[in-house]
Amino acid sequence: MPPVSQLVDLLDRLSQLAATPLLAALAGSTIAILLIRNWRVALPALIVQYVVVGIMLARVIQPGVALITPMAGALVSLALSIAAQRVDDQRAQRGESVAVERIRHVAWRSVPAQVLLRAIAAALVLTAAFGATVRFPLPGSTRDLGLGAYVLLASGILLMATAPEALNVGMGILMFISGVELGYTPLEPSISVSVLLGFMTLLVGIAISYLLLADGGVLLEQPKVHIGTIVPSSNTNSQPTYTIEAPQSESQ
Amino acid sequence: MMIPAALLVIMIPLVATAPAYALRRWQLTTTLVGVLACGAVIFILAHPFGATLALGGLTIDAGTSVNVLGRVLAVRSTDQFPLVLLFCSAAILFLIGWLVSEGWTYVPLGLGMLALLSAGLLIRPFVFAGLAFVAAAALGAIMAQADRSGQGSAGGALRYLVVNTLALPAFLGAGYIVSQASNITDITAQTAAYGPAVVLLAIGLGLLFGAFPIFTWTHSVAKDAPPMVVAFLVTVGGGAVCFLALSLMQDFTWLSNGTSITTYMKVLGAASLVFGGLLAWAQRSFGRVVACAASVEIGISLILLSNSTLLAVETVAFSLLVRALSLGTMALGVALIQRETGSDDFASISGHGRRNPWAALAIAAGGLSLAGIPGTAGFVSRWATARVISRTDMELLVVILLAGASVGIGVVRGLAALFATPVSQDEADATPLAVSPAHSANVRVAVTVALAVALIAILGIAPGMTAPLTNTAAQNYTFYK
Repeated sequence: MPPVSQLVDLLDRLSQLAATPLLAALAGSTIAILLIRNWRVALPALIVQYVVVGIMLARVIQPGVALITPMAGALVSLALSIAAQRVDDQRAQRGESVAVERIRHVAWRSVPAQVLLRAIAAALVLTAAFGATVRFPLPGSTRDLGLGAYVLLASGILLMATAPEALNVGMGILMFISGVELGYTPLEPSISVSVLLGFMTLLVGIAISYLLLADGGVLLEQPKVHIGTIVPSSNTNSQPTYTIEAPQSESQ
Repeated sequence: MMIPAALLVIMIPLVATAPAYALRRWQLTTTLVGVLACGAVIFILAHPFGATLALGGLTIDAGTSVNVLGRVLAVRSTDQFPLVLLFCSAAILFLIGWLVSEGWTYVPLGLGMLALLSAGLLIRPFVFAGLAFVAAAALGAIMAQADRSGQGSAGGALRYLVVNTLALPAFLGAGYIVSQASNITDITAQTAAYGPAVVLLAIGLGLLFGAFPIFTWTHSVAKDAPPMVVAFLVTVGGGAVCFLALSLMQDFTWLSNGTSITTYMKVLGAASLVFGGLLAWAQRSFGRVVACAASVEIGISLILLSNSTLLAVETVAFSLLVRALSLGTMALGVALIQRETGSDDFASISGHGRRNPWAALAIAAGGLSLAGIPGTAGFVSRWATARVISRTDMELLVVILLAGASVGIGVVRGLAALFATPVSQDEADATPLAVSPAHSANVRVAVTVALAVALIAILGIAPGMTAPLTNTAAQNYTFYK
């Protein structure tokens, strides 16, 4: 792994790129996340998105500080991918289809309807983000940063509102936070903001990973202590009495 | 060695998460860790503001601030007693919940949430409070999920996280607008410049409260999360948001002197109140009734905050303790029933009140206190609310009373189902016991429920015992109109 100083230098150089390729990469990764709900595609796209956000942030704050975002994002993506893999393992045990199979054997008959709907929603959201950048420019931001922020905020809200799976809702939350970071950092370009936002991203990422495991049925249910079954006792008194019979496994 | 109290208020619960997690298999021990951590913070904060507290070689000073990455963390006189109330509420909920295992997350992450919420209340400038509250919500989401697993089981926790995350840009945006407006010298222009900040703060606080009736977290969380966790999130999380709102009004005269924020709070409060009140009576499970009761409580808190009077703030402070006790006791009863029957649907719990009278008693006492029935602590809270609201808005007072009655009807319907004759007698006779029926366990349930119910009754008869705490908390604020 390269030392941090080299990563900072790299980020510094990349931040001097023209805005258009960065925005194209951001839009491309966002569209990939919005359209493809397969974690083996969406999570690498999320990492690309964090790297692009880091590069864009390096244009307004020190590259060393801007590095916090892609590093936090990479850690969160790693945690999410481990959780998603465990969920897939569990699904495979149950005989359900897993992410890698869905990539190898794409169900072309069902894809157009789903993807078309998502594509229309994505197109609407990206258009709205572009319109918002022109009509309501964010204070302190250059237009490219503002556009990036609006794209992430709008796409994050779209995912949070429409995705049924925990992973995709979680990615929506993370995209929303990235959008907030991109929009707010030029207003207060301090290390404390970046550190606190990075810390928050990590905590939210851990929470989403946990919820992803729970949603996928990987967490074990707390076993209830079943000590027996109440059955009526056979006695002749008028008052009913009950005894507790141990389960078969315990009595044997 | 001098230690700022602000540091200890955050660090004590944060450090206590480790032993609470390590000892999670022993419910009583982990509860004790939680209660001791809360007790330690209360002990530090209960000393007169400005006086130093000497403990061995350590000197704890409430007035000293800590600088973290250029941000100031300090206990101000206005923060002191609200924090005591918050930690008291958490301790009550930890104690009430010791009998029912609400997952490994309950006490450890509850302490983590307390640390982050305290940091949110102590940090300045306030934009960072938004960050701390969202970080706390991340822990709250894990708490809400607890140990449950399965497709769709994370819906409530995700909703909680989403709603709280949406509040983040509102706080950051408001912070920026405030910093820009404070540089304007012309008073009229400055007042106009603060306008968007007021709107954003109202949105941010509304989202944190869960006050938006259409997109709120209360119902999803109450449906999916363990009952004690719901009580914790509503009471401690909601209480912290209340004190954040009060702290903002104390810090910014443009906020407390203007009428906009009070109008927004009143509208949001009334909407939540009506939403909860309209739905509560017709619910078919205790979880849903708790959600509606939570909406009503949130609505009442917002309406009280919009009043900006000493009595209103005192009522907010008292209501926090009452909510912890009432909601906690009801949640305990619901949790006991859930463990026995695997559900809290009225249709599934027929006859279980006879088999588990202590759970039924807990639900009755807690639920009726939430409804504001005379003789309970909730009645005193409603009475104080009525004193505040009746001065300005009789119609709203009627809505509050009706909403309380609606919650009461929901609880009574649930109790009727608990004591109803089961459809099948065989089913009733051979229902498996999910909780230990051992005598000692029953005694523990009985003692805990009896103590909680007694406290509800005692606070209902002698509410003055909390006056030193709630009075002082309210009197430290000076923004009143």
